[in-house]
Amino acid sequence: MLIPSDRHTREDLECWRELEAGDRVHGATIDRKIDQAIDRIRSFADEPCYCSVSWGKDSVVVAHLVSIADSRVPLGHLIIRATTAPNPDSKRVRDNYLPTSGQRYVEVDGRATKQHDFARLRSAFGIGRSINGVRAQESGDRRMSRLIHGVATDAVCRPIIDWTTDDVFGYLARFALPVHPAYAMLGGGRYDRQWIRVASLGGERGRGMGRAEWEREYYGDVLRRRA
Amino acid sequence: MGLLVSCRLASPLAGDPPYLDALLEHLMAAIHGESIAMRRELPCPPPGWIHIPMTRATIGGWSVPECSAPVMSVVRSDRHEYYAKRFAADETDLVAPEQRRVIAVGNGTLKSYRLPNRVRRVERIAWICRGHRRPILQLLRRAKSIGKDRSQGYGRVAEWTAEHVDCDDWWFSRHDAGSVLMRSLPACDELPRDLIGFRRDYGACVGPLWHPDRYTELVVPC
Repeated sequence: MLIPSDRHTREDLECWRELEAGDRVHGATIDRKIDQAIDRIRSFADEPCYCSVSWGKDSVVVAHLVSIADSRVPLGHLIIRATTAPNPDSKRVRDNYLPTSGQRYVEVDGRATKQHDFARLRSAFGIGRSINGVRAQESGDRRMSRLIHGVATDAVCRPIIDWTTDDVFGYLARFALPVHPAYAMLGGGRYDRQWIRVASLGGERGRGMGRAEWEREYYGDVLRRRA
Repeated sequence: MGLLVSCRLASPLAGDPPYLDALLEHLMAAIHGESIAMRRELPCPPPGWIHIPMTRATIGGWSVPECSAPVMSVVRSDRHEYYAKRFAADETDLVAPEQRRVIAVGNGTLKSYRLPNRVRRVERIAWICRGHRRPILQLLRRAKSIGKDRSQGYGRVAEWTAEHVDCDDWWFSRHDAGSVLMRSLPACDELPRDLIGFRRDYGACVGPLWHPDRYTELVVPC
């Protein structure tokens, strides 16, 4: 369920309709992966933990899986501001998702370094263990991390680490979960939704793969406000 | 009486087409040597400081040229071309084992990248404005190409034309549903109540469009 935005063009929405039709078909084929992810969460959530979300596609999937596996696990969101600007549309995903889930939710407004802010999020729960939506497909580092650490360590569980982007969008379509509007900002088909990052805007990380061009095209006003 | 300025393109357009007033300011600044003096970190001179043969009017406290945003004819194709750079490591097995080194390709000088560059095939771009035909054409004939990456052959101009038309749609165009916004303007109370075809933005509506001193709350055509 795509959250509408006036940043979408007519061509973007046409593209999205085609992609979403494919997602609905694919979403019906991932039962095994869903069951596996729920088992992973249940075995990790034996001890107290929280679920870290950014309100991107992976976060919404993990938050929903957590709500099925163990609804007592709270959600935590860190608004990263140290070197980047928060995406203004992320709040709309939160506001669409939370009323239907009923999960406990804590939001920490970051100010200092990313590491320091994550420490504040952990201290907000008084727990060091977390579940997140990291996937191996996203980068070489994460693929390596999967090979070395597997699905979970003592401190972190990544229940969808072996999911593909198609699996994630398929899950969102199958359960009609809110989808961040940025994923349909496709330049009428010029951008691949797989590489769109929604957690924050600006900053140096990942600029070289076209993210900077995409952000200038769709969120130029947000970047100019920071200038 | 308005002026319909148009350019016929001989090669695909990279990036976005320019605002005509910004292009004229750029050309005029180059004549007077001001384009070198103006930098992002220096204070920006007042709007209209670089004279162009086009009338201006004040809206929302800004002196804005009476000129529409660029209007493109049918876009035949809209795609990305890519700038790609990669350290060629395909034949590293040929290097003697004791001579092999680890090279970072995720950051630094040898970082790999693949940057998209939007390229559109469009035959004609037009602007509606109020100004003096002959001096505008004289200035525009200095612009041999428009858009991004002009040195690589994109946006070559085959012909500039300008003709008087009985039309005053440089800011707003009348439509049955309301007034259609035709260029970026400051978001203010002076805009028509029945304005349509716009969205809110933040940026510049008066050249130089890249200078932060020009940034303000805007309505932009969409």
